[in-house]
This record gives sequence, structure tokens and C-alpha cells, in this order.
Amino acid sequence: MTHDRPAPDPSRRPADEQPLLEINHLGVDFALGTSVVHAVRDVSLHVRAGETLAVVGESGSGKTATALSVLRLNPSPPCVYPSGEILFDGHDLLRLPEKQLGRIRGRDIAMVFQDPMTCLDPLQRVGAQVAEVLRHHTGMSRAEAREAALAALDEVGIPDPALRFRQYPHELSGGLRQRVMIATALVARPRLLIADEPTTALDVTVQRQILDLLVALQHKHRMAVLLITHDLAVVAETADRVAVMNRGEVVETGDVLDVFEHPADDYTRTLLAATPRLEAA
Amino acid sequence: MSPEATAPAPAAGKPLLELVGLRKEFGTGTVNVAVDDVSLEVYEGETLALVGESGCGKTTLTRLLLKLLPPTAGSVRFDGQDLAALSAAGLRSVRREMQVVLQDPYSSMNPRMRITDIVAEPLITHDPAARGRRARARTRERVGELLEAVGLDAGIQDRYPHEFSGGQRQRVSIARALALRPRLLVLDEPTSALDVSVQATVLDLLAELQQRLGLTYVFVSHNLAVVRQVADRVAVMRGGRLVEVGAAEAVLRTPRHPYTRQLLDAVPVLDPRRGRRAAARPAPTREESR
Repeated sequence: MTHDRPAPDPSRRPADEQPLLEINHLGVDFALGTSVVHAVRDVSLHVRAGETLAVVGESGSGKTATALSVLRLNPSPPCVYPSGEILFDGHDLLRLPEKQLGRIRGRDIAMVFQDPMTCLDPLQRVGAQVAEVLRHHTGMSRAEAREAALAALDEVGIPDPALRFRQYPHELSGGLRQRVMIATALVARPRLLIADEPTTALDVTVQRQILDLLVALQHKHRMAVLLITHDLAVVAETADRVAVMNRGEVVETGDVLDVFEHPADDYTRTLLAATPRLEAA
Repeated sequence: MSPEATAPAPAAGKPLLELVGLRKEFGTGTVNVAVDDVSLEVYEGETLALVGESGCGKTTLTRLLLKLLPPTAGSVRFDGQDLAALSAAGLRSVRREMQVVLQDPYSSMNPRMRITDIVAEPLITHDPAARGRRARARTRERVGELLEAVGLDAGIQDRYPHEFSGGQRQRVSIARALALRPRLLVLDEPTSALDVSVQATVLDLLAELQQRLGLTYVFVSHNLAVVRQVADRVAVMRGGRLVEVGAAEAVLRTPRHPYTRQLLDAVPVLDPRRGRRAAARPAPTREESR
């Protein structure tokens, strides 16, 4: 049972705004031998321009499978999409030819992950990896891409970008690697950023910097963010709306304030009650 | 100088564990000081939380206090006995009283051992009477009691770790740690790998066991919200040193050290009205919003 709420308080957001991304009745199955795991069942979500939608859930809830479906990054096989559509700019991403999807990936929709080492090439210098996105997507010359990549490294708050540009990922701390990954994701100015547990592997002070950076860059570029996380406190600090997932389904979705203050679903209440609080209740 | 403030001992407590001027260096040539002049007492029956970010030396400190690593300088006293001065046999008997639960319930158990052998291993190692075929029935009975004490079914003894979830495995780790009726448990990020709803049940279990068995906990964690829930006293580490030690309420409410303040400020707030998001909306940068 999905507890869906009408979007309240129209003053906070233009009501006429069309969703940038619309996921309708998505199903994701993994065929494992003779059995099939229904990882995602009938999930519908939408994200508007400039807005952050957080998808929150525990391990196995299907939140990452949902996020990866947007760019069809689930390993296939074993993954199949038995139902649903994912609309972006009028295209159904689930059915778009691979070549066209390739033009959207990294350009209109970019992604950052929990572990930057899964995304950065250990054998390539940092700068080249940021510049590659532009070289691939925009026909920029090498020199232009280099300038833009340096600016991107600077924008994500990396000190001495010219030095870092020449370094390899292993020479950087975890926080700096995360910033490089964000620079790589944002350099082509995507309209939607999918962030899958972007701060989970980081120390709390570094997490704070990265969350602040993401929020600031989102506002600067009026970017939509689909944030995947297990941490309700991160949701409270960054999201406009939240969708709570459990066992492959969205059990509740709504404005962050509403869902946190008046959770309608038992599972949401359980999660909220189980999350330790630093502040007095 | 390590601690800025040392909280008075809890009412009837006496130190079960005393760390005096502990130092640990790693490496030859360029020496890396992992633990630097740490002095700390842990009182009987309390939970002392050791907090800090990665690389601050908190895990090394736990290895020193369990004497899994020799200190470069300084001493560890458990119940008044200097661990460095103990004979091998003396150290073995002290070790019965100090046990450890590690973070990752997937790597801290031999996947090819049955649950019964995992939980019984400390009994068999430390108690000759638990060895051999004739002791088996009694050992199984004891393992059954231990499993029930941590909220598991005594009937799972012949199953293997892979059949259990992370939370269940962490309960098995706790059962194993309790097998020798220790006085001190070192809990090294015991719930960091668990989902929040599972974390809550494991924290409840630890609190209940502490009450029932009068255990003393050294609780290592990077999560200050968890620490607030479990700790009587908090010790904050940074760069191998203790920067602040005190009653949990005092350290978390009115921290004295700027680093503690910085750590607390960084923790995301669960309340969307009070979080930084609300303030950050009109003004995009954090500096402006503060």
C-alpha cells in the first residue's frame, strides 16, 4: 500500500512544473538460475528540475536497483525490466536504443557512487578522467576540455586543482576522490544527478562537506537530484521529497517535512524510531 | 597532555581498566605514531565510548588494551594487573575476562565452522574440561544457553554462518564473546555494518546484557548518535591523542574541545526543520547559512 500525498504548500515550488524524470510502475527482476528475484515492484517516482528526491531504505529494499535502472546500469543479464517506463525528456529510457542512451549518460543524467574507486580509473590521471566526459560528449578540443576540467575541480572545492589534475586517484584522500567523482559527474552540467549513497563511506566531517557541496552545486545549477541513501538524517538535511522503500516497493512518498512529522506507514515509523538521534528527542 | 577534562568516577565504580601513557609507533625510518600518550580509565560496569574519525587511532588503542599489539611505551592495567608483567599463563587467564566483538560479522567468523563450534571455540581454548567427546553434550548445552541469551534459537547450532543475516551473525559474535563470562567487552563498531532497524535491536541486546551481567563496555564508534544512546562516558580521539574525555552528556552537549564541536556540528540532524537544509535553501553556501 503506497501512502501518496498531494504536494502541499505550492508557494515552495512552482506547481506547473513538469517532472524532469518520471518513473512509472517500474519492475526490476533478477533471474538467478531457476528462480526470479523481484527486486523492484511497481515503483512510481518523479523528480522535478531543481528538486531533490531521496529514496531511502535498508539493504535489499530495491533502492539501488531502482536508481541504476534509470541509466540501465543494472547488470543484464541477470537483470530484466518486466514492466514500467522511465520517462526523461519524453524518451522512455528503458526502451531507448543503447546508442541514444549513451548520449544521455554522463551528459544529461550523471551519477555518483558510494565508492569513488569503482568509478575512477586507477591508471588514469584525475584531470584526464574529468576532461574525458567533455571530450566524449561535446567535441571540445583537448585544451578547452582541460580548462573546463580544471574549473570543475576548482568548483568542487579541490585545493590546487592544477596539481590534482596531474595526480592519480590513489594519491588523493577519500574526501578528495569523492570530490573528483562529483566533478566528473557535474562537468557536463547534467540536469539530473543520481547520487547513490554518496557519503556513506566518508567520515562525518567529510560527509558534511560533501553534502554541503552537493546542495550548493544543485542550487547553483538548478539541477535535479535523485539521492539514494539508508540514512534518514541525510534525507532530512538534503531532500525536498522522500520515497521510503521496503522489499522492492515504495511504501510512502511525500514532502520531507510531512513524512518525518506525520509518517503514514508503519515501516517509515519503524525506521524513524530506530534511527539514533544526537539531539534530544 | 592528553585529556582536557576527566570526569569523576561513576559513584561506586573503580577502574577495571587503566591505560597509562600508552604510545604505539608503526614503521621503521619514518615512524607513524598511531597512539600518542593516551591515559584513560574505564570503570567497572560503565560504557566508555571511544569516538573519532578514520585513522585517529581508536582501533589501534583497542588492540593495545587487549594486548593484541605490544605498546611502544606506557602500560595497560586490567583489574590492577599490568598486562606487560604477566606470564603467558597469567595473560591467558586475564584474556578470559576481556573479549572483543568486531565490526564485520561476515569476516569475523570462519565460514566453514558450524555455529556451535564458533561459539564453543573460546570455551575449548580456555577450558580443558570443555574438550573431547565426553564434554560435548555439556558444551552444546552451554552454547545453547549463550545463543538464547543473545536472542537466537538454541536449535541453530549445526548451521553455518552464511545462513544468517548480518544482525543474526553479530548476535553469534556476541554469544562467542560472552562464552567465558568476561567482565570487559570491547565492541569495535559493533553495529556499523547493520541496517538501522537491526542496529536498534542489537543495541538493545547489548544494554540488556550489560545490566544483567554487570559488563563493562569499551564501545568504539564513529557514530555520535549511537554513542549518545549507549555511552556513560565519551573519549574523543584525534591524531592518536585523546582530545576530550568526560561524561557523555557533558561532552555531547557542551564540548570543550573545538574538534569535538566540529564533529558534533557535522552530524546530520534527523529533524528536517532543524537541519541545515532549511537554512541552506535561500542561501546556497553553508557559511552564509550559519
